[in-house]
Amino acid sequence: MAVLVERAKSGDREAFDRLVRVTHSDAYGLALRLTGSTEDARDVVQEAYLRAYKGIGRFRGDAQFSTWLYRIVANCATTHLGRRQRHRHDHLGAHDDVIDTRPDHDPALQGDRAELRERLDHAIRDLPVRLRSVVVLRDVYDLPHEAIATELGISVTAAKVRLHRARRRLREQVLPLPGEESDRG
Amino acid sequence: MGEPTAAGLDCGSVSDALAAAAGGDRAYEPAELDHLASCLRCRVEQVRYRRLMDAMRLLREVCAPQDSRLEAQILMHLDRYGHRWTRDGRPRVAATVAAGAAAAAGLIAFTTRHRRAARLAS
Repeated sequence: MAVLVERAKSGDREAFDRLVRVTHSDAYGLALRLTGSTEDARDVVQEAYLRAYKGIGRFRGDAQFSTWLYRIVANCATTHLGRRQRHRHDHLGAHDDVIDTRPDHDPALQGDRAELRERLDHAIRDLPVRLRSVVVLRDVYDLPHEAIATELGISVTAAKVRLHRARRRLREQVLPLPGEESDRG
Repeated sequence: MGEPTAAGLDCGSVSDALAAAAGGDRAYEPAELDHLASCLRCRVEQVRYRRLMDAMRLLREVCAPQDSRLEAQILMHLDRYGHRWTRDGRPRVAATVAAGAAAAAGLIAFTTRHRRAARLAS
């Protein structure tokens, strides 16, 4: 990957195309989680790679290429959703279910995990965009608070407040305590 | 909700700390640890946050449904706009360099001619 990045930085378009091949599934997964729609995710990913192509000369290499790309995807998704919300006031639609391609080890455990994952996916989709973006970038893709705040155009404190609120909502939805279940309706 | 503990914390205030501490964003205060030690409800909540965080981390390994056309679409998008950007950007630099070189050559020619004219006049 590092070799490809260096070649791409020196203007090798073929190397950049190979980076696209290696990373586009992951980038699309993030875009899908952030936007909640396959159509929007496709637009976001295309725009993100164009921005990455234009800006690869500025990539310093002190972070992983994938982390740098996630930041661009997050920024593009924020712009895309902001633009879309200005034009249309529709809510995000449900996206296709994600598929686990890892080999199964323990079918029973796998079943429990799959069920938990499905509930979690639904709960993430049901979150408002401002909460969803933060929790996906931090807790799924492990981006630092500072990077998240920068890409979403908010302060670090605001990012943390949103993150904790999002976690709390997810916990209440997916793993409710006794008494919380009846509140959920 | 559990009763406030000796440190004066109730489950509501500890609940905020649990959400923050779940991802390692911050450590528990001594008073929060005291509450956790004596409150079963909050300990259960703490375990659920741990499960939630594990499940969140695993989501990254779950692949999104593959879109066979996506890679081609990205590369086409790069061809369409990336090349336009390259055409707009890099040739502009080349044109500036060429114009600069032409101006320098013109200046040298003018200076040479001027000196020659001055020599002939003297």
